[in-house]
Amino acid sequence: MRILAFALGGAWESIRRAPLSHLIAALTVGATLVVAAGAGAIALGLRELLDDWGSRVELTLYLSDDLDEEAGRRLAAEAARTVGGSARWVAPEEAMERLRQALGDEEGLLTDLPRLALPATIEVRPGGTAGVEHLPHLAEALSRLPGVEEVDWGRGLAQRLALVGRFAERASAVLLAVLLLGTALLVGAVIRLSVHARRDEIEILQLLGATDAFVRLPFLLEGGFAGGAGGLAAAVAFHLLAAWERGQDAGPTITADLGVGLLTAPLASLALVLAGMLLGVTATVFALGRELR
Amino acid sequence: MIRFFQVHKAYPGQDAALVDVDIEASEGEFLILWGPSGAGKSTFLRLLLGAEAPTQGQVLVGERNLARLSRKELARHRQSVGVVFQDFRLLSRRSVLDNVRLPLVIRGAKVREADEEAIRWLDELGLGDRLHAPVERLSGGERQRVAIARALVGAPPLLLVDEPTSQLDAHWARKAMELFFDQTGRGALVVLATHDPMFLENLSHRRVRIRAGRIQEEG
Repeated sequence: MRILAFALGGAWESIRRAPLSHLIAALTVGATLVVAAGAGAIALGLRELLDDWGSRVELTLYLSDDLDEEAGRRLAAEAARTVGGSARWVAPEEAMERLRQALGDEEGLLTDLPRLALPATIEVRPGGTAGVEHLPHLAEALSRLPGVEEVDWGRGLAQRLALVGRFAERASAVLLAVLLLGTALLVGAVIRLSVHARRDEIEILQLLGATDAFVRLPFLLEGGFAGGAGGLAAAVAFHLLAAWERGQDAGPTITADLGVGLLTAPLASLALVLAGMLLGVTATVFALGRELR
Repeated sequence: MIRFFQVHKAYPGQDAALVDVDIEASEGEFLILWGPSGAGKSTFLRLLLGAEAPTQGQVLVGERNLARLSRKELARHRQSVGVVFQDFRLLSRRSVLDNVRLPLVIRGAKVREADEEAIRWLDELGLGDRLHAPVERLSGGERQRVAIARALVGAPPLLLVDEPTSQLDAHWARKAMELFFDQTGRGALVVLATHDPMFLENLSHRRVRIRAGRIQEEG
């Protein structure tokens, strides 16, 4: 307990001696967490949107002409099982009726067509967890069912959307890595300045028999405080953004529509503070490893 | 308890600080190391603390060769040594009490026991009313008494004191010497380094003269 009190005193003394550099370190941690967590939340939100879109996509199975209604309905049941969703057999007559309605005033174009010119189809909706990434696999599985001639599901759009989703995730991961590295270097530099400013004190502690852990503890607390303050600043920034957006006219918002609102939950705020502390402590460990060797 | 075996210590670009030093001292002894400034007294003490390693030879404390200790073992050795540094080596922004109880905090002593013992020594040395004063606001003599109190807490078996009365008036110098002598009564080995021959006239303990890094027993 006394060791912790001594270490807290040392950490406070360092912060008191150089408030500006610690403030800069904390704000850098905060800015990093805002950008990293914001990008992560947006990527997550985008992924949810794509998954949601993927689960709403309707796949149309065009069936071979020799399949009667009973076989078509059995195939629909099997297709529903295959995708874990729902499937409905559509008779050629119903398909023709839909086409007629879709043509509206132009329905006269159909008068010369034979009565069953359109094939029977099965309309398949994947289950709720089927994301856009899974659509090609589902389409492939459905195309292998006996009696299915062709599967139509908007492949081009789905593939482009999946690409956007993957790019957003990878870009946010790279951004996160770069920002974390930069921030760790800056926090480490601040801690190294503290170590230099307290070089005499460290030597005295070592001469009195302090272990490496005893000497390091105040600096680890110092890094943890700076990081935690940065995490708190990031949490406050997200709350302020949400509050500001609530005061605006109705319309799409970053917090509500891009997933950033997730970061205003109490647990997310706590996680931001803890992430900041972890970042500060980790950067300090690396800085001390070089300075106190 | 301590043994220097053929110890030689040299710093780059300087004359040797210690030359072929062979000496032993036991528990309960009061060893006075005296000689002019720059003779090698502080180097002798720093070798005993493990703050420096000999260029040649061995420094043994108990059965341990200090040059072979790991960082952790060296820290444990230093925890068993009370030191009054010539320049005090106090944490200037910390309070008097913080400084004196520091060795006990490092050793993991209980809070209450550490405080009680630190306050007892500060009372002995006339600083009971300055417990919470920052050291940087103390006079030189007061700082030296804080350094002495810090060396005495925890009853260390080895006490190294370097010019411990240089800034004390006659009253506190006498008091400090009494406290150091008392430590031999409980079995501690006290090694005192001084340059002041006048200071030695009243002391009848084992003396070792050190000059240009070489030592000579004076009986």
